[in-house]
This record gives sequence, C-alpha cells and structure tokens, in this order.
Amino acid sequence: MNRGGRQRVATPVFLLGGAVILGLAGAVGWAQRRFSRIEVSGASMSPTLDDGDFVIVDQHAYRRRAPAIGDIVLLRDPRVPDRELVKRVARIDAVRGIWVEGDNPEASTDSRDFGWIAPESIAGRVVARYWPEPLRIPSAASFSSTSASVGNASGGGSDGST
Amino acid sequence: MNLFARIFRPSRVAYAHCDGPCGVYDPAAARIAAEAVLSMEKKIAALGDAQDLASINTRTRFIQIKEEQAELVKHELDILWHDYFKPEHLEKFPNVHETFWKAAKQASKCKHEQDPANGQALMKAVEEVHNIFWQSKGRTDVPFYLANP
Repeated sequence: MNRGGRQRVATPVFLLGGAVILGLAGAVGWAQRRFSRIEVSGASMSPTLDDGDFVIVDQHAYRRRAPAIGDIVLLRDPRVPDRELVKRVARIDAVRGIWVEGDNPEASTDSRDFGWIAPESIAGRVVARYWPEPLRIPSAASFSSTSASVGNASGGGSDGST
Repeated sequence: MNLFARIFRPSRVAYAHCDGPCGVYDPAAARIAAEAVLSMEKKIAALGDAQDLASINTRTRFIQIKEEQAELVKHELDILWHDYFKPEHLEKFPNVHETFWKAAKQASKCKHEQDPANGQALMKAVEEVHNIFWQSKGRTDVPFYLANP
C-alpha cells in the first residue's frame, strides 16, 4: 500500500521537476540571447564609463521603442564593419538618423567624424555596469519622452526634422 | 582583476575610443616654430649684404632653418585644423577655415621672402589661431606668451 502510494506521487514530481528544469534552461538561454556582456575599451565615454569597464547590453531594448536622446548604445562602427562602439545618443532626426557622441568629446571619435548613423546599426542599449563598480543606467526615455538633452548632447539640438 | 571579474570578463569588446592619441593639442607648437621663423628673418636682415664666405654660409644656414620652421608652422596648423577642429566648432566659430588659411598663406610668404614683417604677421596669424583654439575649449587662462619677446 505504502509503496504503491509513493509511486503514484513520484511520477508527477518528476514531471514537474523536469518542466522546471526545462523552463529554467529556456529562461537562461533567452536571457543570454537578450543580454550580452561587453568590455568597454577606450575613454570616450568617461566619466560615465571608463576604459576596462564591464557592462551589460540589452539587445532587445529597441524592439518595441526607438532609441531616446541620452541613451548609451552599442552600435556597429559605420567605418569598420566588424567593430562595435559605445556612444551616447545626442540627436535624433527622422530623416537623417541618429547622431552619437562620446561623453568625453575631446577623446572621442563619433558622429562628429562619421556623421549620422542608421537606426539599424544600433545593436542595443547599455543598461548597467557590473564591474568594477555596479551602476544601473536607466533609459533616458524613462525621464522624458522625446527631445531631452541629456549628458553630453551638444548645443543646438533643434534639427528642423519633421 | 579579482576572481569575479576574471570569471565574468566579457568576450565581446566595444570601443569608446578616439582615433588618435587624443586630446593633446596646443597652438604653442605652431607659435614656437613661427617665433623661430621671425628670429631667422631678423638674423638674415642683420647680416645685410655681406658677401664674404662666412656670411654667405651663415645666411644659407639661416635661410634653411627659416624654411624648415615655416614648413613646421604649416604642419602644426594642419594638425589643429583637421584633427582638432570638428564641424561643431565651425558652427560656433565660422571663421576657422579663414583663420587657418590666412595663417598657412602667411607661413608660405615667410618661405618666399625674408622680410621680418612677414614673421610678425605670421605671429599675429598664429595668435588668432591660439585665440580661437582656447575659446573653443572654453579656456580663458591661457596667455599667448613668447619665448623671445
């Protein structure tokens, strides 16, 4: 009687356990595809991010909304296809695209050199630094919706876009 | 790097970079060369028409140094002009191109002739570059001083 009862319970427990493990594995896989760890090389984002910082990039950040002025983004270097850059969105123009700049303009090669970039070249948003000093980097979109001038966004700002 | 950082070190690198050895620009480099040009022009003038062998040799040497330094002025101006100055500066200082063009032209004139007045004008032109440059960096604490006043 006892042994029979245990067997009846055991099967659902294994099924449930299996489901949980599969679910966890799926969640980890999803998270790994969505979030990528990136090492920052160079000082053009100083003082926000420094050379050698490790950050987390949300690669799905712009699936449902567009980048906002002030966001720190990962983008493909328009001049070197295999290279990725970390810069801050400084201006957005419906026609011309996105203008990125470093927080440290004197040590930055950015849109001031290579011009406007296509929105498709943005690979994700830097959401946090996890080493050496943890820092959450909220999206600028959560502060204001459109034309905020955050951080290093250089003067002007009004680009006569429609 | 501690153990945590070593384990969780990303394999992917993104560049927050600058193409050059960044940030160190100073019109002083052009000013020093321009001063040397002016100094040579004065020394050539001081030699007058002396035609003895020693004077000819010395004059030749002065001319050579003047040529080299004038070329160096142009080089140093170029570095500021096309490496330091960016389109955003042009919006604020629309006379950047004009200023550099005039200064480089004046350096050329110093090569063609040997009148110290050309060197004086070159110094003035470099001073204008100095003014625009430090203004663009929002600095008011950098005087235009001379090694050889």
